[in-house]
Amino acid sequence: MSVREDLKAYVDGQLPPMRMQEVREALEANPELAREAAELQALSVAIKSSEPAYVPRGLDDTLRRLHSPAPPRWWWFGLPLGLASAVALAIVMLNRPDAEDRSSVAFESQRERNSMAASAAAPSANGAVAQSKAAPSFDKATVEGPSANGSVGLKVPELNATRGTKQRAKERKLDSQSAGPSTEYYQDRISDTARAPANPAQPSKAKTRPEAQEQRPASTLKDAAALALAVPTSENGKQETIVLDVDSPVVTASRLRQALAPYQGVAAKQGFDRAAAKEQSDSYVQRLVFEVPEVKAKEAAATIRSIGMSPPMGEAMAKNVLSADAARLSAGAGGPGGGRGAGVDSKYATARRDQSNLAVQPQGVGGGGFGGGVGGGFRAAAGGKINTGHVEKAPDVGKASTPKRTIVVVIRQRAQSPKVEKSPVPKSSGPGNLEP
Amino acid sequence: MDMATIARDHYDAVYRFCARRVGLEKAADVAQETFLTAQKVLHKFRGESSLSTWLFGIAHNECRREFRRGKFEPASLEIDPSCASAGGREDALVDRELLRQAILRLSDEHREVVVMHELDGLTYEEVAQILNVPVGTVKSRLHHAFSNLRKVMFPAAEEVR
Repeated sequence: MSVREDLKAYVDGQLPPMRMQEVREALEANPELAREAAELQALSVAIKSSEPAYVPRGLDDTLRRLHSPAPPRWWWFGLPLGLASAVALAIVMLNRPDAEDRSSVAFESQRERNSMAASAAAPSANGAVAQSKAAPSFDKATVEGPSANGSVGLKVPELNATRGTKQRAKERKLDSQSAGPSTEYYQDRISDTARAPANPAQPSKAKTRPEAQEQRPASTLKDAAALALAVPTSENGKQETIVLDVDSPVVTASRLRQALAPYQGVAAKQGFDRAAAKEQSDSYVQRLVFEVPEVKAKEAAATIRSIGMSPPMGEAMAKNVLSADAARLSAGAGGPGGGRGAGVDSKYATARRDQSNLAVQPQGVGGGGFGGGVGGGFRAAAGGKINTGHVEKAPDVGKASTPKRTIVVVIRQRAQSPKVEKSPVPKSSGPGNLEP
Repeated sequence: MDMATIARDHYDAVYRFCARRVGLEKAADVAQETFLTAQKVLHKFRGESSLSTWLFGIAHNECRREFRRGKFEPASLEIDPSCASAGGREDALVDRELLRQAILRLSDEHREVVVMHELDGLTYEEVAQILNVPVGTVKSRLHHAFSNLRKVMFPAAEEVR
């Protein structure tokens, strides 16, 4: 190392004694180095002397802080705790086989129970509270594949898979309102009724719209077939299937349960078409299974069809009328009121009368009613696996040997069509998309 | 060893050490944090360096932490103009404002060793311990720092040479 590089250390006195002596000799021999050392010394003195005088403050505070106990470091506990919670949550979420599937099942089951409870709590026409304890869970048993009996002359319903999530959300909102559908719903239904073909003989909407057929996946049709056929039949094997195309399957199902609750056990569960939901939006079919006395099967079927085709406002009115009629009949005041259907179309009045007759009948039989309940919940998965709910049969309190008929109601979501201007179709024109 | 006693003995030096780096406003807080930290890690002090050097090392880390927290530049070297005529013969040769500008133009590493050695009064070894660098590195940095200062403060001498 050269002497010049050690010059600063020499000025500062930071060199070993031997090196100090060498540098000193070099400075004596070289005046340029001596001048350089003098400049370094001047700079050092200038730096040291130019610093302002600092007046220390804060010693007392520091002493106080030193004597006060340190606050506990909670984050030492919070950090591992939060990490452990996050890991546990992640494990739980990852271990769920199909989170969406479970949430859907839970929602549907809860909705089913709510609607069942609502129908049970509603006063029946014969004055009895029907199925008051019937809010069963349908998630208990699972069977593989549909169990078709060949007696059903069913035309396989074609599902509509173009139903949007907005419509679904609206139905959920409606479903949560136990008091009944909202004005918005009524307006929707009235407008759809106006769009419906006037002639009942005309084919259904789904058949007249080729684009709707193109959008249906094959699995949807397969599930629909399984949906209709995988129905536990009554003991005598008689079964009838009614397919309804409606705007709101949930609301319709709830009304059907209310209407037929006094005569038999209602057990149903809606199936969610998983394949359609994945491929397009979401679409589902709802199935209700009614087991009614053979002698009242026709009336029950008529009631079901009338509810499926009737405008909701009329339904509400008819329900009120029926309730009033039932109350009056139970009090011995007379038969069904024929003159109360003012403002309701003729089909509607028919439905009211049918329901009134049905409502009165159990009392005439002996007041026992038919408490048989058939649990037929299922869940249509993409692979054709069908989960059926457990079958609950309440003990028959009426005649045990009464022949019964199983009525399967398949409620489909009506195909969404582009907005059509309301045509002045009279309210009495039926939808005409029923498939008996 | 009582930390309160240590604080009473070394607080002024630590305070000035902090004030030169973070300024007068934050010097008290940083000095306090220095002694609080020292109290927590006092059991780790093995006497391999002087107590003041150990405290300066903690204070140095606290100042750097304050820089990161506040994201402000290190305080520039405070030079009192009133001291211009107080020095001796060498002091009269130096323009103090020019000196301040020259020090500010130094790199952080060079300025750091200049302040530690010239203002804090630390030896090369102490500076090396605080900065955790070899003593030769400190000597080299000081040599280059003062060479740069000389070029600014004594340009005529540099040209002659």
